[in-house]
Amino acid sequence: MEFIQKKTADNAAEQFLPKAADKGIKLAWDRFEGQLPECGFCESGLSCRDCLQGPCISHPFRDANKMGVCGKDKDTLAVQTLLKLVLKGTMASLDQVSDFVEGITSGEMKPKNVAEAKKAIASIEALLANGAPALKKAFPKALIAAWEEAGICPQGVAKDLFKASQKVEGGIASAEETLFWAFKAALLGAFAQKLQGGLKKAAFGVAPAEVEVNMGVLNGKGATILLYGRFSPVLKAKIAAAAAKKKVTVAGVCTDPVLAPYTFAPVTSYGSQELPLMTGAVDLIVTGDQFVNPSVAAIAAEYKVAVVATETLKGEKLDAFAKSIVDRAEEAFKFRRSVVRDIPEAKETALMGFSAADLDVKKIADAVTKGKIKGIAILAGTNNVKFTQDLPFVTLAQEFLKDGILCISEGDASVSLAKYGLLNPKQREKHSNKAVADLLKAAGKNLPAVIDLGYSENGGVMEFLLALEAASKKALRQLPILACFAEANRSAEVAEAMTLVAMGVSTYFWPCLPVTGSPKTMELLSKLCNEKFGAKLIVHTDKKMEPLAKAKMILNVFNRVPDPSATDHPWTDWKK
Amino acid sequence: MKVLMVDKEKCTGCHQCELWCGTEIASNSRELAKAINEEPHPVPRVYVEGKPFALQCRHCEEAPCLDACPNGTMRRDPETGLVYVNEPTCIACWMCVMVCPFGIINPSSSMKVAIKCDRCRNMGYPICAEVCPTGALSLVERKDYRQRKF
Amino acid sequence: MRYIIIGGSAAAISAVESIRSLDKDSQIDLFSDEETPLFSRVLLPYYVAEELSKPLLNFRTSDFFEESKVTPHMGVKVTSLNPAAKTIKASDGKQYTYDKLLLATGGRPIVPPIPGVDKEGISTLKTMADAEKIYNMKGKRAVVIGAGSIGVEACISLTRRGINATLLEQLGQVMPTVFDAEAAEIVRKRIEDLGIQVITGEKALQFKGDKKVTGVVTDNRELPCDMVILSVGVRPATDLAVQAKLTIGDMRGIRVDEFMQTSAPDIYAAGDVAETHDIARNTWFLNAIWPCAFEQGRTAGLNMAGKKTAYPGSYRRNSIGNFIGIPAISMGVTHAESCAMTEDDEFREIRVRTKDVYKKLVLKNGKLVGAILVGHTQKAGLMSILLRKQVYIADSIPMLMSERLSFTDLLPILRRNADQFSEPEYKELMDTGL
Repeated sequence: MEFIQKKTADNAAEQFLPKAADKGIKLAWDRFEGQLPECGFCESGLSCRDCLQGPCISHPFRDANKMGVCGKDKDTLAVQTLLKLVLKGTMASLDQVSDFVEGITSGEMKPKNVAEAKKAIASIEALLANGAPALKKAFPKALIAAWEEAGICPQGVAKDLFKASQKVEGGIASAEETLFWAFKAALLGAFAQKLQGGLKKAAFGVAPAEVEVNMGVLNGKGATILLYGRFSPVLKAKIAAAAAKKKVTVAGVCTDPVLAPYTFAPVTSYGSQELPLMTGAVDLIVTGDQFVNPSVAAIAAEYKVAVVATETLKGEKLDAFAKSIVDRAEEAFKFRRSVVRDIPEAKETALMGFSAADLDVKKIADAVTKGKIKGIAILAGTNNVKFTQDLPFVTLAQEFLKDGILCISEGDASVSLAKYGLLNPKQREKHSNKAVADLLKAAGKNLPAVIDLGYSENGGVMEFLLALEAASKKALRQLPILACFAEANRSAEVAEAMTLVAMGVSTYFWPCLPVTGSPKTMELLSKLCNEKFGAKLIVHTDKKMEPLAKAKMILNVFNRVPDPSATDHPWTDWKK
Repeated sequence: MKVLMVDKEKCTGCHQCELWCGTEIASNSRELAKAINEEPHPVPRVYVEGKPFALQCRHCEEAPCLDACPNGTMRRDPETGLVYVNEPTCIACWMCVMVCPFGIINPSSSMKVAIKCDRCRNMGYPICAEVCPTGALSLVERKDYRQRKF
Repeated sequence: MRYIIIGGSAAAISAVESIRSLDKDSQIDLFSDEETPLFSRVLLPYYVAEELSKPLLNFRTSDFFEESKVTPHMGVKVTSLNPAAKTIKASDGKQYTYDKLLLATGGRPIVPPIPGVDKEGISTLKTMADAEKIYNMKGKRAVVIGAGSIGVEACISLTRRGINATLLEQLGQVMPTVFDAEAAEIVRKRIEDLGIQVITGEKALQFKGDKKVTGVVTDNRELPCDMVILSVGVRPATDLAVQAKLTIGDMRGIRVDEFMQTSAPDIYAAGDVAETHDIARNTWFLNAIWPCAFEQGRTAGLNMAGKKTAYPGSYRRNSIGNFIGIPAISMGVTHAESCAMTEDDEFREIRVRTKDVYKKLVLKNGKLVGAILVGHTQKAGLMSILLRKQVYIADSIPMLMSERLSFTDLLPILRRNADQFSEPEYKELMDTGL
């Protein structure tokens, strides 16, 4: 089936598309077209493969198969689809924090601040067991009270994750209860991220760093390693240290770019992760699991790039591993001298890795409560082949900044925006309107138009939101803040969206969550969540809406334009 | 005339053809998320049943439904040879339902008109064939098809 | 070649179409004793119910005759037929010659010889004129005599216009030629739910009133009313055939062979006037049903235009549509007893009844000769084809009675009887090797 859409807004990436076609290299976009149309039942959350009496569907147009063999109806099927995504997403966060903890407790790394690190690790270990009671004190009482009333305050892996996962195995839980299990699981992952942020600070220290982004950072003149995806920061640091000794360059794709004192230039964002290999300038890639396309291994082979996976069954001692990686990279470089270099001249400066501590949160809170800016938008997520790469992120950011909305970003969304200068402090005035520019000048040092709060595994956004709540003395649900996953694809992002809603921040998520087969679930995500948390998870079904129209739609919310077609507005609780 | 051939080796019974026929042709909203929740629910014109096999109107050369329809609601397009229901004049007498030897005519969920595949007469290509993920459905000339060896 | 067609309804128009499919230029003259052309009799109750206006009763567009190059003679009755000379005389005073003639004169409604039947306010429901007459009748109460398809539909149509109606049937159930007793019970309850009084097992003995009818007297009671509709049956209109000494059958219809030809060469008959081989009964029978008329008309036309085409035979098919709120369909014979039998014939009746759903199959010597479906009529056409082709199905009863029956389940049967299913549509599907 044909799918006519511009594949990417990134010119550097676009250059490689015809080249890949000529060489017969299949990319994610080609495979996507081959998949179309994707199963409508699964897209609507109306399918289930949880047991071998299936696979079952709930057929919206026929009576014979409206319920699964075991009796799951369409509402159950849809909300369980969501639950399964959240469970996987939370496990991603737990995996990351466990790796990090192991890297330190194994003695392979000495944290910068040993006492703080020890405290952080103790909290993490408690969370992974029975839940960390201390963590509750980090959250406003009203929020904790709301969560406890709903039964979703995290209690530890067994209760939050294992128990939640059993909802799909059977039982008579209602759609509402199942949804709350999903929230509970999401919050566990979010807490883990917050604690990881604390551990990162204790182990490495945190400070914003200047990085260059996009493929132009590669030069092909010396051995170059690309780190793909998420894996232990301890290992990353060791690779960087070993590489620095040998003057080997280490850059990254879909991985935290700031790890003091090292930076890993983000060479591209998720959607085009296969393309840096085509520059010929990469000699070795180190792959984690999360965020890595299996296809990179095949393309690496095509360009004689060495591939080293970190998440292996038998594991390795990190020092030796890091050293062997660097050695291999050097060898690969020698071996690959004759491979043609084709490096696009695309490079942009970005200041990344801010944290709440680097910002004058009080000034921001005042600007919001006094109406100097209309609100705050959190841009999160990762490219999705269903959209023109980066276009939704950039369009939203640009339109928001022009209309007086402060923009925060995180993770891969930041990398996408950075490619277009939105994280370049020198271009701040170019992108923002006066109100936002003034605030940025006052609220921190050298702030760019969009403030990157770090990779999501470090819980930077959550920390910022809590600081904002404290500084403004208002509940988050009363502040004009919206989260926009303009392009998203990972289960971790679904879990994050749920967390933001539970905290009182209404969230837009694209593509539409797979729950559209159940009007009940959609109602729970809007009406019920609004009641319990003061925020909604917006399930937006219009597949054809252009990014500009989405921006305008959200700006209408910030500007409190009444929309007769919307049953109620995300801004019902916002206080002027 | 062109007919829809079903390759039984490739039909997996995934029901996508029914889902998209119901959405693109039978519903008012033409969008999956909205069509799913339309009342009365859209009636797809293709039936995935049996071993499995996707079956729709065969546009018979001698169509019993054309004979049975008492008021000319069931018509044959002179150019394409396709048989279709002219819904505005259908009086829901179900004579066509009673005579169709393939059982592919059905009352609408509101019981007001007879529903039957018209081979996507007003579109470029039949939607069921377009969305079939295994390519089990395809358009071939009727004569050709009968010569195929299986 | 000169074709003359006597009649203007289903069989006649169908014949015109099939003649024209082979012969684009020869002269066709069509005579109909009704003024209104091209309307469907089946839809007259809808007109009475005020749900369809006259133009919507048509089953072909008004330019049909022009497009088909037919010379219509509407409102002209053919008064005599001379098979030897191959001429007809018409009420316009003229004589016409033919090479091929089709008698598609249909039937005439029976007017029972009940005292008072010629009072005002009493009408049959067969022609457009009848429908208009009934439509314009004034009054609040009606009695419909005869609970056949027409009677039931007429009754409900009147009810839809706010008229209080009573349905009077001489036999013990409604729709006796369509349903068996059990299905008739379900249908009767549905009719009564609409506020109609249904009286069975009573005969109308007399109509009361002066010039205009005011009541109907039955064996047991008197029913006051302002109008009466007579729907007690139709008799084939065979005057011309009788006069021309053509063979008339036991059912009083014109006997035709499998090429729709009567006993006189070059004279064909089709539709409600013709007696053909009945597949279900395995004898000569007259099935005055719209699809049968259409099929017969087509076959007659093809034969008249020179393409020898055999007619496989007719079988009764009725559908009550959306009048009673649930679909109800019946075909072939309703009881085993209705078929022609010999000593060696073996019958089976299989029925399943749940609250409002009834399904019955009648088999003779392992072949389907009748089916009744009430409530769930999807896939009824599958029964239809099995009946039409008279294939052996006794081994497949559970499958046929199942709610999950689909066409693909029938493919093995079709394949076993491949010579009977030679149409391209079947070959397409049989060839898939399913």
